[in-house]
Amino acid sequence: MHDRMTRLLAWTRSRVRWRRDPDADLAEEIRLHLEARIRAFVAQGLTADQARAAAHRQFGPVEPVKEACRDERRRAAWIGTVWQDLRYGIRGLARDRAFTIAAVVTLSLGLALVTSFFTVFNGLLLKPWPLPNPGTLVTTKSAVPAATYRQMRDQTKSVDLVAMTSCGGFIEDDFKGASFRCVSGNYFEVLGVPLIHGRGLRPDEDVVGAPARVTVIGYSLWRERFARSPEAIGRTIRLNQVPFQIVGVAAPGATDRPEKNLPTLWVPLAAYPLVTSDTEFNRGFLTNPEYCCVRLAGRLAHAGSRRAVSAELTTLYERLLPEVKARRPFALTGTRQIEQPWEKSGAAITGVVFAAVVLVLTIACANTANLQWARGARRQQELQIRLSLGANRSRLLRQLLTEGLPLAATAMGASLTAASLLASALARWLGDGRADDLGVDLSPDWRVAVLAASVAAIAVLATTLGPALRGTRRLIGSGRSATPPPPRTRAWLLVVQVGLSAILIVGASLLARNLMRASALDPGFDADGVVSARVLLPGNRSRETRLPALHAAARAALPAQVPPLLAEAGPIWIGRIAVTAGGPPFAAAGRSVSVSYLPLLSVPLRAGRMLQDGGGSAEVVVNETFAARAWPGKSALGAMFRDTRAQGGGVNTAQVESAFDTPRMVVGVVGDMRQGIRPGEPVEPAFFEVGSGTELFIRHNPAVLERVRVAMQAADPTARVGFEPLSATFEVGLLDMRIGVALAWALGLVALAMSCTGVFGLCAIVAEERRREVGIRVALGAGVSAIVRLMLMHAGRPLVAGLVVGFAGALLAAPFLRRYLAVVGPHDPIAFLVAALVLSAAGAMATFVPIRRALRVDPAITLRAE
Amino acid sequence: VKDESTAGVLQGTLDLLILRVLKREPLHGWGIADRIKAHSQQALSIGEGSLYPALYRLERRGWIASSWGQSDNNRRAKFYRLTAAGRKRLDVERACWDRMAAAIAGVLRHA
Repeated sequence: MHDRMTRLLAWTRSRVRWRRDPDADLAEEIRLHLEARIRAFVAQGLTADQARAAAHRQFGPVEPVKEACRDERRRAAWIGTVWQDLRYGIRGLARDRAFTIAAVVTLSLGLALVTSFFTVFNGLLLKPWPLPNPGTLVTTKSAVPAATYRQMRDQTKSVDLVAMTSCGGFIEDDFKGASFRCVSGNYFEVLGVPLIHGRGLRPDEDVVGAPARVTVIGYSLWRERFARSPEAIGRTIRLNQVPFQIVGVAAPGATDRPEKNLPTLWVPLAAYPLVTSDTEFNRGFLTNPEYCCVRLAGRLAHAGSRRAVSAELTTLYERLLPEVKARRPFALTGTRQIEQPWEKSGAAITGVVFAAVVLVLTIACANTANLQWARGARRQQELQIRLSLGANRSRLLRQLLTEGLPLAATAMGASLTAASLLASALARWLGDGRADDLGVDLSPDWRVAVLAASVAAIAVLATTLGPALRGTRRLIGSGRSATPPPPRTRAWLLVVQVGLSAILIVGASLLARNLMRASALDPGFDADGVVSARVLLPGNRSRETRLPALHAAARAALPAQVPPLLAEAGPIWIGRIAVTAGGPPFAAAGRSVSVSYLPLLSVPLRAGRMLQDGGGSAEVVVNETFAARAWPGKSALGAMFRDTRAQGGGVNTAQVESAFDTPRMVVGVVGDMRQGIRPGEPVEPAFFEVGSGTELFIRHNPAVLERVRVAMQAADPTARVGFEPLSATFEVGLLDMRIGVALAWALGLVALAMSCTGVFGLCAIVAEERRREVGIRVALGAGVSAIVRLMLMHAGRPLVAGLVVGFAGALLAAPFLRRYLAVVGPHDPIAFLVAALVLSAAGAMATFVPIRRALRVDPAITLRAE
Repeated sequence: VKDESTAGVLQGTLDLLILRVLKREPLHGWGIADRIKAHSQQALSIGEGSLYPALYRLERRGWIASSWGQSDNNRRAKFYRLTAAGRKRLDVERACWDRMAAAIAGVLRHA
């Protein structure tokens, strides 16, 4: 026991000794060495002083030896050194508070923008679908008819295929539209969509012709309608007035692919005809291979066999649908992508925003670099002293770079916080106030952290390295002056900053101009005060047969008058148009409407006459775009064309090649309507024919609406009637643009603020450096204008150069924005003028304060301070 | 200037000499310097200071170890001793040196 104690003590002592200050250890060792030598020389008969001198001569210079030993030791324990440098760096930053705050804020801003952007990009495009084991999940761009899907599913072994399609509908008596996902019976089992109660749909419930009336409801529906009660399982819920039994509840955020809106609920694919309206297309959707289409997804039997499975499916697809002739190979893709609309418009938006964000980051870096240069100039003396005291340069460099670490870490922390805040705000906004309603998980993950860390490291390194290299040059004894050279690098950085902000501001100003012009555009019709009626009827299948009676009741309730109070229209469908007199076929939107539809919306007549009752589908009215497209330069009146309709959204080739309808004759040309598309974007060719409508439009006042409701409910007591303003759809288009403009201005102004700080800083430095000169000049009687000229020469020049470079760059870059500039040209003079005004105002403000300070220089005080 | 030229010559060989000296017994810094000087008939007079970085380097590589102790005349001193890894290293360096010396000698004799 005692023995063990002793050993423990000895061990502790040895550890303690080992941990004692290694510098002191080395110093003592060298001292003992010299003492031993001195003793020996004294013993040989030298005097104490001679002995000391001889010992030192024999030993050589002590300090380089110590430094070399330290280097050896540091190589052994460089982590310890880094820690030491880090503490030193943090102390230095704490002392230099103004610099630290400015650098951290600037870097954090730039980095936060990049990180936030990447977080969203990552959430939308890089993260796989929120399903278990996403590595073996595949999806395909080609959709197939439901009948073909069943054949493909049964004939492939290497992949479990599931099918899905969506349809809109109403739950119980709620007028708010919902999204029903009709899915194959193996869907839940194969994809593993997470559930929190009950079970998923089963294959035996998805039998064509005999579907089970069961549904799995989404989390938000469960929360809203059943207050999260487990009792919901087994309850009955009416979907488009057809009763279904709830068998399961999906987990929050559960979906098969990330989309803006989660499915409200899931029903078997075989139940498709039950929940959709009773049309020939819907009746045949599951069985007719000419009716397109369901989307596919699947799980590979073996991970990594994607290409082989693709080939197998392509072969199968071509055999099952020979007439399609594989317009596109049946390629399987991974699940790291978003729906097609996003892919197309998303890529371009992503590019533009990314470019803007990178510009802002560059400006932030330039600003930080400038701050570092200024700080480096201030530390010049300290560094030179350390260098002449024998510090080696690489060591100093390492220390200066290590000092950047706390900066990078703070900026990274701030940017990650900003990114996650933004992500949750965005998720709440997109998910209508509830983050868990969004199918996309936007929260930052390891990819975002890695990106933030690397960008922070690169930014700090890029901004620290130059000043550090320059600062640690050995100036003393090299014949060079110890004062730093004029701030030319800083001026160049400033040119870059001002130039980049000019580009951003011009871009923002162009977008704003576009929005202003677009919202002032005449939509071509008057949607004010027009509502669309929504009618819910029990028993969806009889909807088509019962609607006319209801519409008739509504018509009867309102007196016929000019201008009309009520109109009907059918769904918009896209047809291929062949002009009988020649020309290539093109796509156009067709709509069957009541004769009062165009007058109700005040669509102006340009030529010919409006539709008349009894004209049938042989007489049509086309819009101006249609007329210009089909008969350029000629009158459209009396001209003939043929069309074919494609239903269900997708165009099935077989169907397109089928016979065209009876020829139609143009009796009138009306103005273009921009309903439902973004203002400023080109208008689709459209035509109108007289026919029955499923939608009812009413130009209302409250009394009129109430009268219509009462009349319709009297005609069919089971019907429920609601109204929605028509302008709502139009507003959505403008909202996107407003967000875009706000984003552009936000980025531009942040960039401008940073550049202004840069200009301000440079002016202040010049003012400080020239204080003596200004003092002398003032003493010699120089006027205000001379001083201002002196200041402007230094700070104003890079400002003007930056503006010139920036505007040249903007002229070159603006055409990339053309896609978003439907109403103004990319070189719109007013937008450039506004940008120039904003930039010069900012520049004037940034230079004004330092110049004023310089002018206040009192020569007596300045010269006394020398 | 003189320091640099000798340092250049000694860079590789100093390690070998130190290891060889320590093979006999643990020794302190100035003892090592004395041994090297004595056995080279004063031909290799190194700046004694340059010994220390070499000692630190060898210690970092684990070829020698150090501890504080008492010297012959009862004074404090830091003693360096060869480790097992150092012994192996010495054999390797020695063989290497012998080969090179033989080669140089051969060239000098016959060329």
